[in-house]
Amino acid sequence: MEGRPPAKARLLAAVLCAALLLAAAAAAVLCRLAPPRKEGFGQESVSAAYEGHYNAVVFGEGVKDEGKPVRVPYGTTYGELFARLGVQGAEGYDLAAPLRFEDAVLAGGEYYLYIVV
Amino acid sequence: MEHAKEKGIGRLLIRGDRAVNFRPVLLFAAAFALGIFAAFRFGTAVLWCGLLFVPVAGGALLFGHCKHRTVIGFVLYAVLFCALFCAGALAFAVRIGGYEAQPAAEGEYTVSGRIENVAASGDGTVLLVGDLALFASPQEGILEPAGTMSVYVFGGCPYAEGDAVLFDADVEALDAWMYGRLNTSALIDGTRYRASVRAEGIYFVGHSFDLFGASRGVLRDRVFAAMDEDIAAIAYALLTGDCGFIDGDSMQNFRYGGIAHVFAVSGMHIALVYGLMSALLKKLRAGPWVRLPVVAAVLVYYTGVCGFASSAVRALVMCLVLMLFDAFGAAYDRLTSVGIAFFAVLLWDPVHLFSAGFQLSVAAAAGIIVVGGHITRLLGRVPHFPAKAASALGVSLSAQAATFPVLLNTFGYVPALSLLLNLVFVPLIGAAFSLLFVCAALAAALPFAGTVLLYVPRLLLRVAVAPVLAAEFRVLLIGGFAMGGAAVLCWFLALFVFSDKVDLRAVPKAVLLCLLGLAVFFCTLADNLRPPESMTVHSYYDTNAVLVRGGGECALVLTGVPDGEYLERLFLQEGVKELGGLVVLADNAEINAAIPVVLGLARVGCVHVPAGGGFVSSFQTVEVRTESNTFSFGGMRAVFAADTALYVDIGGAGVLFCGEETEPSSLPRCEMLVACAYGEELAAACAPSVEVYFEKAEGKISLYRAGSLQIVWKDGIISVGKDG
Repeated sequence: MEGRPPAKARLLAAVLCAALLLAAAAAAVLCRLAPPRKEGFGQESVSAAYEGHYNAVVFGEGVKDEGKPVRVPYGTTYGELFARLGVQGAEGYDLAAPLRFEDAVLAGGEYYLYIVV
Repeated sequence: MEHAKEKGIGRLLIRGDRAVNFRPVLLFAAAFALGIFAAFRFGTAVLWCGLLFVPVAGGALLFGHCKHRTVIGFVLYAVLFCALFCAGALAFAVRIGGYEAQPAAEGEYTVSGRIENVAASGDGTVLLVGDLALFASPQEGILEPAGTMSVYVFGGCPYAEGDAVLFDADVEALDAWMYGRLNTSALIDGTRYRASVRAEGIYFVGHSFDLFGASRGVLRDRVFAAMDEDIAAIAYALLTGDCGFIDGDSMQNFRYGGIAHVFAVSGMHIALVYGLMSALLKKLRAGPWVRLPVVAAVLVYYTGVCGFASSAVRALVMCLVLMLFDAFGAAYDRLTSVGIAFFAVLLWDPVHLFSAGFQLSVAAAAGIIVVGGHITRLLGRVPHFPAKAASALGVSLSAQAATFPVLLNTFGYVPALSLLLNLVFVPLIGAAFSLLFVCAALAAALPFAGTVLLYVPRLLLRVAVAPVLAAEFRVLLIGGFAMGGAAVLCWFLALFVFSDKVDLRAVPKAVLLCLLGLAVFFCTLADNLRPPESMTVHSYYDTNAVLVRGGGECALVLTGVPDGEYLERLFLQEGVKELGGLVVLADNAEINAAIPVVLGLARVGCVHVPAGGGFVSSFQTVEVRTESNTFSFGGMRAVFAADTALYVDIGGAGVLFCGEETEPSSLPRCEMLVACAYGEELAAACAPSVEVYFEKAEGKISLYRAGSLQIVWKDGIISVGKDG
């Protein structure tokens, strides 16, 4: 092409520009001489298995082991709990409903669901 | 034949000779920035990636040999790319290493230093103190760290930039990584320590001259002497970028209106100084090789008075590049210029890559250059559309589009009114600023004429900002979601493809845009999916907050009086407008102070307080319930385990939230403990499987390190991970 510098001159200019660039980058690194931080900044996460359960204490007529804490898995219904403790005809409780964290009392570092039938 | 086939396919997709014009500076800047980011995520191990140039260069040479083509240019670019990538990674690692190498001094110290900057903050003053010497005990000796200290002074502070001071304070060391993000403002300022002290506890020792500090001080004195305090604060912010003197509510209104960027010393400011100086020197018949160094010196001086803010440096470099191109008679390419500015700022300090101010500055400038002209031309095709209106809309729309993801992820919202307010107020404020700058410069030189000189700018400024100060712009805020890395990348790619910098034919361009649009949508959706029941835990300095979501309800737990500004931003980011319940795990005085802060930001259904706490409610606008048994909280059942401890039942697992100074002796066992600070007794009493602390806790998950966390539970597993 007319007027274009020869290839050698273009290559020399490119190498000079590249050298200048690297010198600037080196200055960015070297002007603050200090041991570099080796680790990146990561994200923290953790997971843990938990045993969802309730401690229930049931009082009433005909209750097996009345007043003794019973440990049941989360999702246990009132009906299943009462069946386990031999409770017959408990009024005021939806037997199909799962146990809810209500009327809980703290004793000995644990919460207990106090149920009176 | 194959070559002809390729050319045919190319003709279907591309209009001209090539799809994109290659700009080496952008490639080099991208390589350096990529290296910085890679070192940020993965550490110095990424330096091994520099060896990739070997297979790339080898492959290119082999290709060139087989196809009889010259590939020396490609090889050179590949080598430079890898070298700059490594340089960026090393520059960042060295920068952070240098910051962390300074002693982590914590405790009572006698501090001496020189004031480098004075700024207002709330009811006090914040001093940036350098040339530090810290003394605690003869055993420790005198520490002379290279960093600076941010000192919050209660009460009026009579000291100015350049004053040498001495005081006793409880010093706290800052970390490079705090609250789940890089502490960019501290890193950029070199601030390694912070302390609080009463004004009467600071002693004047001497004074040394600091050109930029003294200039700022003179400007501040002239402006505040000639104007009312509120307008003076705005004028000073427009001139120097220091918004510390503007009233908090007013500043927030500027932010809600999307026009707070006028206070960032940037293109408008630098262009004005450049224009004035060039015109003056041309009038004096100064030649181009006299004008260049004189104008450059004045611009550098002005940028120094503005504290070398990244936006100012970006604009300065672009202006210097323009002047150099002009002087050498070369064709000026704006995209190359912004690339050089981007590269130059990162060379100066690689931490700027993570600074919101720098990101916004570069995004806006690049957006206007890449997309602004194209939008203006498209609007110009609309019949009878005024050319000036098309230009103004093009600039505003392109800047809005380019800064949208950065604003959303940084502040949690983007003002929907921003486009309209920018079109109306920015030209007005810009015009007032032009006169203000000239008059302030003259007033600095002629103090006796300050009041007269600044009279008209004072009036103009008052007229320009009166509607902004009077109106309430906290409406129509787009927020409640964040855009992850993939969504942001697709967004910027879409803007680039839309522009006239990509020479595709109409149909392929439309198809590509649709695909990128869908990618943005689905990536954003994926980033913001949250289970119906979850908790997010947040902390920022003294504000600790937990959002409990379940049963379609949202509830909030605090451990003290929250910072209103941080809580507001949190609510905007999390899309919280209404809270079913509020619990404050603190003493009664703090509960009393915290409730109004929350009520000012969201509707609150009910405030729950423990029965044994003795809290007496005087609130008329919210129900306060005294709880002695379990209660519904965020769709879950909760009970006060102590006056400053809340036990929440999640699927049979217990999560215990403890405020400060919770007595551990009577606390229940739990599966997860979320407490302010680690305590051996506390951890032993509760025996949790997972511990999360708001404050720094070695070897434990803390929000001080990790930032906001999300807690989810499913199938017997509690997971704690990064929120967002």
